[in-house]
Amino acid sequence: MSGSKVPYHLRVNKYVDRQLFLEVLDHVARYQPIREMGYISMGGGYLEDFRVLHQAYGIQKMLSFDLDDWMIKRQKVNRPYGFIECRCASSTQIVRDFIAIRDSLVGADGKVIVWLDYTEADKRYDQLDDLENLMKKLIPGDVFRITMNAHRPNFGTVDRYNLAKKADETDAEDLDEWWNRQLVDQLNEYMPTERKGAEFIDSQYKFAVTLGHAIKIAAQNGLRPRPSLVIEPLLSVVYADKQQMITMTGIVLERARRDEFHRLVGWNEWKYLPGEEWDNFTQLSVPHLSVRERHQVHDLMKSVGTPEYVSQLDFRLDGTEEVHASMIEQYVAHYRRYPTFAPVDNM
Amino acid sequence: MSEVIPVNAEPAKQFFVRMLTRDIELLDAVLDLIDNCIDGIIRNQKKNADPTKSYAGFYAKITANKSKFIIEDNCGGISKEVAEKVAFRLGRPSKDELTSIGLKLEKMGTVGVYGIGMKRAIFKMGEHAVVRTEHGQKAYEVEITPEWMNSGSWKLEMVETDTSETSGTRIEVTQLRPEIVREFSPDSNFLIDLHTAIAQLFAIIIEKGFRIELNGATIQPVGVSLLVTPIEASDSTVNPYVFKGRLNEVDVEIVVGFYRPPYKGPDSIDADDLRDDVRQAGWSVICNDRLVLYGDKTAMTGWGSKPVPRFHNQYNSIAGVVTLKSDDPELLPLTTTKHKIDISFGVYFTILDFMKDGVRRFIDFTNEWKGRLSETALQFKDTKPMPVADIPKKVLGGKHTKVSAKRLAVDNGEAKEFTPELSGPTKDSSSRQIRFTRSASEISEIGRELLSDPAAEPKDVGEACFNKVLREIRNARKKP
Repeated sequence: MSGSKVPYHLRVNKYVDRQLFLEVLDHVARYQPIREMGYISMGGGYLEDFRVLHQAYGIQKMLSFDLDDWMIKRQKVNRPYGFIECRCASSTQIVRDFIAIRDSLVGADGKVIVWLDYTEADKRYDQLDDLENLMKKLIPGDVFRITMNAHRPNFGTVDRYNLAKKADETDAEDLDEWWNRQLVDQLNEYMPTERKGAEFIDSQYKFAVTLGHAIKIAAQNGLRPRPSLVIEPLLSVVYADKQQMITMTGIVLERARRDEFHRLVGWNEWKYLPGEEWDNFTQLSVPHLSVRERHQVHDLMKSVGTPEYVSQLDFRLDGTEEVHASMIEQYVAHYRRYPTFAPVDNM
Repeated sequence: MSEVIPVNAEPAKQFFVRMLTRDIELLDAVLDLIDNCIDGIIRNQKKNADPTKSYAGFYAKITANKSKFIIEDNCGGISKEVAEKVAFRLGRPSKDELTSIGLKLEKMGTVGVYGIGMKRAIFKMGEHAVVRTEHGQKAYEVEITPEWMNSGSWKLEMVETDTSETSGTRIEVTQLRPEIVREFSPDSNFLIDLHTAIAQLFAIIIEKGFRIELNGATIQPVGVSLLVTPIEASDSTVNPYVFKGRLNEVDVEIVVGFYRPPYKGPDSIDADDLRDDVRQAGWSVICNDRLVLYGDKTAMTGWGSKPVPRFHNQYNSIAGVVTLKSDDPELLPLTTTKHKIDISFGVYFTILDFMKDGVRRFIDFTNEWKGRLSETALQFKDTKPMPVADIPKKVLGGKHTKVSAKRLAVDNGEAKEFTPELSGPTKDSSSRQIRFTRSASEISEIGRELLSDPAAEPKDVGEACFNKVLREIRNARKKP
């Protein structure tokens, strides 16, 4: 289900995304204690996120779930701490039984962090449906996070399109239109009505924005029966290690306490605000650098953020100067979050 | 002699405003305002002569955010007399009252019957409003203030203002109520719902050239088309059922058929799978160009009342559209919000019978071919989607029959219909369907082995297994 068969340290951008998640939780920690919260997520084979969240905040009430029994068996071998419960269940089942799960984990009024870490591109409707149903059961102070596949070619490559066109299977005029029709069909009522045209899927980034809006629709739909509650978007990230993915993180608040939240967490200090529409994505494309290359960049750093050293490096990451420069900039923006170790406890 | 004591029975304004706005949803209130714009075009008889583009050149632009709501149009505005005597009244004055002040409001196919839309919408949204209207080289402005809202007086003042060369109306509401601020903010999905509702309700009018903008974005209409077989292609018989007539001053068109081939679409074994809930499936009802119901699957449009079964995923490819037109909107089966059907109304009962008759054929078709719908592909080979508005003319142009007065059973009416001949399967008693369940990983394992495709469809894997075993048995038999 969570498909994260590859460990974090081999997926630079997913790792950086998770570091950003931890940083925004640091802000949330000024509003409410994180330590007492429960953590529910799809741990994959290594439960790396569980280890990190326990290390950072001391969270102990943890539940990892996966659809596949063999994965749960593997989790039980790899789980870093005995207090992590591993359960064989689909996210739909977890959401269905959420009240009971919360109760057994942290009590009826205890708060939780839930991460729906999806990878499949062909199940977006079910994923959004799960999110909507999850929102119906969240309470103020709960943090939710969803990862979704945002890689257009999963609808079919250009070759596949040309074949379909030849076989008269589609009358879509171009690839974008072909993708767009599939997306509109797939998202159904979650499809953002204002982005239904093919022009909104003519780049990977625009597709990410559309999916982001769909996530917002699903989440807010779920909260609709309780107008006194509101979702504060915390972080929206788009990244690609191989396939483009998006993650969105938010917290449920009482509307009346929103200003207080902003004040207490130092909202203006948070560099990666997603904005009212949740679509101001933090774009990650941090390159892989060798240890020597990293040290060279670090040596040239006088004050963080000055780009002059880009030209002084002895190596190039790309033949085109602009591409090289933007890769180095990405690295410099996130070097503190770069996975610099291979976690020994997982090897 | 008992003393006569005068009693004050005047309605308290706040009470009245509360009562009036409590029962209307914000969404309906905004849709009402767009209805008013369109009624303006009809009232001012400015509709374009080309019936397929009768609203070309006209627009309504809506701005809705946390601080204000604005709707402005170029649909002809309100004349001084109507503004003075009628437009700001709550409820439309009676015919006698209108005649006594020398006004005659024609019934011309508008939907505004009740005369409360604009006021209700304003009261619903905010405390302060300015209505500006320009008509026939004159422009007037009426301001509604919080002071007025809280006073006992019902009088408003109309002030003449400069003209702008555009005949139309502009309503600006500010000092929005807290719940409205919430709905218009990005924290709520309201504006998305509004977008969807407009794309649906006004689909026909937008198709005919009307432009509706919501916060700067032009709204695209939802599609309503059905599969039609061109006359020149003769080996396929798939066509919609069509009924066209005039019943008691109401023009009626019923078109029902497949909007997509029934063998395509989500291939799900789970009959309750919500993804199969394709929106256009079911019935849509258009009253005077307003799409008041879209993809209805309830008893309102005959589902679940004999001889039509309740809507089921099996009928997902079937869609029907009923188009009703009348110069007198009171003859149309609309509720007061104008966005729903009043089922117990007038000719609708008669119409419902023909709708059920029409849809029944397509239900039977999916029943007869159940489990082997893919075999119908050939019948759909030459079909093309056609906008519903064009279908009666195209289909009735060929062979059709007159509906007998007995079947119509109304005082005053005539109609014709076209009934398609849909081919059922030739009765084949020698075939059987095999169905069984196995784990996904095992199916994938066999798929990889037999079809070199671990993601092969379960039914293809099943068929490959069957064929392989059958071949082996027969080959074994041949060997000595």
